[in-house]
Amino acid sequence: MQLEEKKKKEIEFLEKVFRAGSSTLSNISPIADKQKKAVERISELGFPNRKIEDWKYYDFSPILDNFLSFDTCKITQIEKESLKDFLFPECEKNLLVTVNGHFSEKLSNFSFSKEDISILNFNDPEQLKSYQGLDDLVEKYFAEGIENESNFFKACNTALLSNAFLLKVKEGVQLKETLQILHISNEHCFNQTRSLIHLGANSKINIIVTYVGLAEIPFVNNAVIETVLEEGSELVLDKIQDDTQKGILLYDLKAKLLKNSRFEYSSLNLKANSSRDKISVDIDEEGAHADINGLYILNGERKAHNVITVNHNVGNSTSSQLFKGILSDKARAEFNGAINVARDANGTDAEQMNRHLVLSDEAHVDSRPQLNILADDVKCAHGSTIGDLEEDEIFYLLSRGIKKDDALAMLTLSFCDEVIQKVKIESARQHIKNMALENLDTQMHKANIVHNLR
Amino acid sequence: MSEQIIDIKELKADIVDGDQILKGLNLKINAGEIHAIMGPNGSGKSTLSKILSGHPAYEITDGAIDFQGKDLVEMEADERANSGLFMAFQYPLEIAGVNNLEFLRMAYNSKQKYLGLEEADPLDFDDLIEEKLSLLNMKSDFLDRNLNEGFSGGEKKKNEILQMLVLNPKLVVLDEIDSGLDVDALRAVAAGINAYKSEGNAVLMITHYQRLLDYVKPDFVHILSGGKIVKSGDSSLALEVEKEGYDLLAA
Ligand SMILES: Nc1ncnc2c1ncn2[C@@H]1O[C@H](COP(=O)(O)OP(=O)(O)O)[C@@H](O)[C@H]1O
Ligand SMILES: [Mg+2]
Repeated sequence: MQLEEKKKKEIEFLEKVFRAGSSTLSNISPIADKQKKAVERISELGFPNRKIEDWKYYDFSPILDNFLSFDTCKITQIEKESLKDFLFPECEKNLLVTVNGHFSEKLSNFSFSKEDISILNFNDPEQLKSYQGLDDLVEKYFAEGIENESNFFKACNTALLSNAFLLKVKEGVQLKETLQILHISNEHCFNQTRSLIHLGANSKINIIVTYVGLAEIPFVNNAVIETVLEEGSELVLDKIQDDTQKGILLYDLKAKLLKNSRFEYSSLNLKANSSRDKISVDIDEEGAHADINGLYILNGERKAHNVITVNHNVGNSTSSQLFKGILSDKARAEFNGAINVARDANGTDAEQMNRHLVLSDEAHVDSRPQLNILADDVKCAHGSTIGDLEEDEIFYLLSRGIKKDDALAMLTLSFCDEVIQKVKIESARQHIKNMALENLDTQMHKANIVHNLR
Repeated sequence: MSEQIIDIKELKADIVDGDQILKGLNLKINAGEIHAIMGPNGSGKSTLSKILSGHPAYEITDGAIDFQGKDLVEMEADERANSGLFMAFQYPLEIAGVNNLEFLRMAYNSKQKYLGLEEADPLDFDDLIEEKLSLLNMKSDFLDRNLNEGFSGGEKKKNEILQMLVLNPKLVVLDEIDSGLDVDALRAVAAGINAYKSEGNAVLMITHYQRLLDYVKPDFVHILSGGKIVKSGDSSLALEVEKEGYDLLAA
């Protein structure tokens, strides 16, 4: 009976996607082509289930129970004042805001020169069409490989495409200012956000993407980021997931690294009822480096899933992954991280580390690191630890007069520090620390700690 | 008569769910005094210092500890520290991700708060630290590093003494503060102890060697063996130990 009910909901979900998908077809033909392929792919895949390896630990019921109204996402009036907790002063001049998946011109502003970076909205065909080389770019990099897409929700995002953005940094341009992309949700809906970030040869940009929930109502953020790093370019991308406790984040990041490019990525999952990060990095040319980091701090019954694939498709390339999680109460985390080294990808140097701090008996971690190495001359290291705070470390702090709650907070923050330090923006680091403390036991003397830990 | 700092009476203590380590230990320390405890490996010296500072791995089963008129046994570890007890660890821990200066400031302000005093003004605090650093011959970049992380053995011990100087306790228990130190570090550590020492406070040093005692002269020397003080004397007892070893003395 229950099973039938579930099947019914899945079918209903699919019908909605098909219906909404056909009404959102872009009138730019290469984009529309990808959308049609996405619809085909959706019907091939069907609604995912836990028999699929990548979804083994995922609970679909919050999505099926709540989000059949996803074609009604609307932009709502928001005052900039209400966003102040989520804005970083360092990014004040370059801010791109969406509300429930829709671009908000009112809240956004850019000081970048249009020569240096093009920021185009897929919903503005005139603007898009005037952009030279668009068709080629879309064909090559937008929803690349959609015919074989494994992530059902990314295919949905493609089919339902609303306000996606193309950010294209011009060859040789090194932007000093950081761009913040802020995605706000405050409606009970299933919203789609998407960016395609293209870095021209030898260009550089720092981007911080934040997903923020402004209302304590359930919603799904179905987010996609695709990025292409041309030869010698460098992208620092920080993602902060700051949704409300009822938010659900489905996130898909795909990065394509070309010759000698460098990708530094940090993912901070601080709130949300559940988050699922699917991260795929393709190192397609030599000399490239990917640095992929993550931190999730979970309390209550919250869940975080990280499904990560780093593909060394060629040799003489390097990658490192560092993911840390702190779990209390009945929280659950899944870390599923694969390093794939292709045949002949000699000279690959890849490492992966996954550490969990589990502060309660009822919290649960599934950590599945995987190495698939087909080349001979390769350096690969991986490790995974699950532990509690060290009694002796706690005692050391107590013996210096620091209160137990403060000592626990300090040690927990110190566990996070390695990842937090990767974030380049000072005010973002401070925000993350504050959020981390808020997520940790409420008994902790937050004010005291934050005051002293400048 | 000078003020009594600590009075340990017939102290018996176990490792939680384990063996009895202290088997009826007596020790009284007054203000202005320097005591040294010597004793063979495994005799319970570190256990004594951890019990005094409130480590949860040990439990007191009998006896009493009076610390300046308060029942030390009833106090939590942080409360003991804030009331003026400081223990320098034989093996100071490395704590990644906790900045040394922040840690010092947290500890200092915890004590101020406990005593109902104002927290330190950051600039005044920096001045205070600078003064102590130069006394110990430590560079100020130690402050920017993580707590003991990657410090050499000697640097860790100096960092313990730095904490002691900043917290300015009433009683310090120094657990083998001299082990693993080269001559220069030993001198710096001794200079720190001598600068700290006053008529109003007291030092309990745990050591194996005469060489520290050459720099910091004890008023009393005790031999700990089998969980008890088996012999007490003046500083000449340490020289006897050096010559004869523990076995003869304990016999
Ligand atoms: N936490 C502990 N767990 C188990 N055994 C311990 C523990 N602490 C101390 N011991 C044991 O108690 C005895 C005394 O140790 P310790 O106090 O460190 O000696 P000392 O410092 O005099 O060399 C030793 O036999 C040691 O192995
Ligand atoms: Mg010892």
